[in-house]
Amino acid sequence: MRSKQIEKILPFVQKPARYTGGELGSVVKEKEQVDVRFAFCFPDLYEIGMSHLGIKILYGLINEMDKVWCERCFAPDLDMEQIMREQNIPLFALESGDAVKEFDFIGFTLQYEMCYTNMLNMLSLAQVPLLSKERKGLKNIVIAGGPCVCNPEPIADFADIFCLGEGEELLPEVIECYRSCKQKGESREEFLKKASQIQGVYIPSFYDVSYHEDNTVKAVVPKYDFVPASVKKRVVADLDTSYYPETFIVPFVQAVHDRATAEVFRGCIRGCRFCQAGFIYRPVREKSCEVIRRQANTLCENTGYEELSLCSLSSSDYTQIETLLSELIDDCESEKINLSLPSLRVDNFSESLAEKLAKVRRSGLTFAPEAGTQRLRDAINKNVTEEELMQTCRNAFMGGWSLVKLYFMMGLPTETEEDVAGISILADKVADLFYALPDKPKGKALTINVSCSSFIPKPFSPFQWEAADTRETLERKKEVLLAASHSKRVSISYNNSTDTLIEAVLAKGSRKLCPVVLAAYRNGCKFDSWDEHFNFEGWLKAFESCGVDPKFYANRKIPFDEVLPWDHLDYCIRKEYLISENKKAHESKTSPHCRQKCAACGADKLTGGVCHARSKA
Amino acid sequence: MREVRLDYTKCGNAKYISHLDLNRVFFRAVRRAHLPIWFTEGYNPKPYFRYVQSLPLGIESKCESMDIRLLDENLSNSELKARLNAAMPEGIQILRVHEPKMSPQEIYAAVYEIEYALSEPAAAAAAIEAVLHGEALFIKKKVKHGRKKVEEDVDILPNVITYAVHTEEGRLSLKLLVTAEQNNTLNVFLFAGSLEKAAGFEYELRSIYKHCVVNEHYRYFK
Repeated sequence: MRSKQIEKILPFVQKPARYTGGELGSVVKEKEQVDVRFAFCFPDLYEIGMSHLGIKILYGLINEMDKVWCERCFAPDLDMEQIMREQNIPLFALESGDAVKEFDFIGFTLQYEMCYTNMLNMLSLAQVPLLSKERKGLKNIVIAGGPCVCNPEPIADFADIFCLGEGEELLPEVIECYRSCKQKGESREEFLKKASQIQGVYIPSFYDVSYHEDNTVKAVVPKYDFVPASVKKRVVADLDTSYYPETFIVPFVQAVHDRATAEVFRGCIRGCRFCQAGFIYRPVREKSCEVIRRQANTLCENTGYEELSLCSLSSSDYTQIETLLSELIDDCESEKINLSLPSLRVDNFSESLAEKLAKVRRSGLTFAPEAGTQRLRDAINKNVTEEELMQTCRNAFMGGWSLVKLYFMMGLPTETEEDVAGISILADKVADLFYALPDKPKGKALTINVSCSSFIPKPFSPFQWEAADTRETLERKKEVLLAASHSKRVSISYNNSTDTLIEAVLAKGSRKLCPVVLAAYRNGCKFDSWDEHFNFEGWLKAFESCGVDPKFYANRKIPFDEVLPWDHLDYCIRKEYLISENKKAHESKTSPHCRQKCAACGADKLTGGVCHARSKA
Repeated sequence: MREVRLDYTKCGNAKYISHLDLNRVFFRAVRRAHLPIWFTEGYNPKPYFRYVQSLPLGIESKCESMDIRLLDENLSNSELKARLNAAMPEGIQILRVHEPKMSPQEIYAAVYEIEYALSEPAAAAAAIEAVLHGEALFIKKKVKHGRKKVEEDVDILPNVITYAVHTEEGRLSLKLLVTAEQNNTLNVFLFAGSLEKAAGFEYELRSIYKHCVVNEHYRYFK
């Protein structure tokens, strides 16, 4: 039960149902019967966190464990935070209403770097010490996972444990280890020592980092001989048999993605050189068609959701996509469910499936050429040709669409002003194509939305050694972009060069960033990924007060032989392979995708040789 | 096709579900219960749900009603109730399923109860009596002036038909009979806020309940 104090303030905040729990599918256990309590924290608003598939999988999985209770917690909105601070109400978990500071585990999923200050803000609201070394006793273990922990060094001082890779097997092992330590009355240190023996567990306080005089990393060395020198990530080998929830929590307040989700596969065969996800989620592991269909139908049945979406990095690359779509379309039609499909390459589909697909309502057409010229698309290994883009748009226009979204990146390695102008020229060509078509949709105005995000080099991608463009360069490129655009039907949007800088620093930073993140948080930075809350001044002051130059991390090209801050974390992607991909980029040479030719990236070591890009080709 | 009225509760956590969100809650419950309901026939078919009144956020009620249309004439009211209740989240419970007898236009008034946990109930009761016996009690209301929306002070005492204050150790209950006509309804949540301010008392916890809805002959809405 929630405290009276919380009950009293709820009528006075926006969307109070974000803080009450009690949604269908939420799990309530008898706390007296529970050995381990886990607060699963998503460092952003409820509406964002409740859209995330990972939290749903792990929430269900942990709650399947006997005498372990996983609850949810999200970053309170500003109005709620203000009242909580005024009235000294500690951050509480939704299911029980109990204070997070009473929990054994405080888990964070870190999906984007710009949520780091929110993590600190949540710990502070929870009235838990922010620094790992200040937390004592066997409780409040701050454990974090998600893609950002492939380089967690900028937040290494705050978390006790990082979980590398997928949590389905790893997290229960860590929890069991904790339970046994708790039952034996062992200390926090003893638990962490035992946990460090589990594959995928990275305990940052067990490693010493030394630096060269120029602030580059000299070495990361374990403090104890029982700690692995390099921590290898965990994956589940077989997605068909691994846990997938039979129901989702159905929120009262509308989440951003408020629907059932069927996961199709993990990993990606494409190898686009800018894309971190394309490398850190390897190897490719597909679910079988029957399993996906069964899971999708079970979820829809149990939640009552009226919408189903597919989740993967590139659903068109699923080997059984035709069969799957054909079956799902039939299932959804009979159950009056909207099948929400991402942009699929529809060119190769059979006529009967194309007919079925035409009946599925889709709001707009999204295409991601990523770069404006063929030369640059080759350099980033985005194997899309202008011809393919035009063909897809032509089909879409003839099918009645008049809204096209085109996604690009600016600031890619080797990019010239010609490449930037190429973005606008390409968008104009799409507009010209529309007006030249004899069967264009009648009575509808064409809209082409061009969205340009700035490229940020990320760890474990072939571009990890590259520099992000400086703010000045990005601003100049924006001018080039706008100057080259002539069609009134094209509207261009881009993100701020200021948040690009911060994200670039956090993505590739070392532990020297920890005091900066803390100072930024103390300067009032939070919700950094929200344009309206992003506080660039607060970050700049933090860099200054800590004597850290952000450009050193964001805008410096790193030589291949330099020790990277994340070199002691092993995502099983061979460095030589990443280097060769990087070199090919500078020669504007493409690489075949994994199904055409295996590049021996090394990821199949994690699954005992299983990679469905090879075996199911 | 058959139209039925569902009388339901909105208690506990469910009191924080907004009216807009409630619609989704019902839609998904109906889907989970596999009820054969009638959809509107427009470009975007939607289930036909007609709410008798909308309940402000934060108020608990045991007298909410909505109308739905069923395609299956043979589905009994008791089975419908059982199936829907099995699919409902906590706090929303279907009490009765019946044929609509009155039109929502016939609603005249509603009985509410505001309950306070507080340390000095007697003093607060006296202050409340004084305010309710006073000249006027204003709330800020958004009013449309042509196209413009402006905030205006509106006197809400005329909406209070009658009331009763009851106190006991650490507790005060204010029962209210207030207008609930379609164009002359009182938001009791706002009423409570402005009453507390005018009477100037502090409380530990406040709960608001809606007890029943009546027509102008003081018959229960059916």
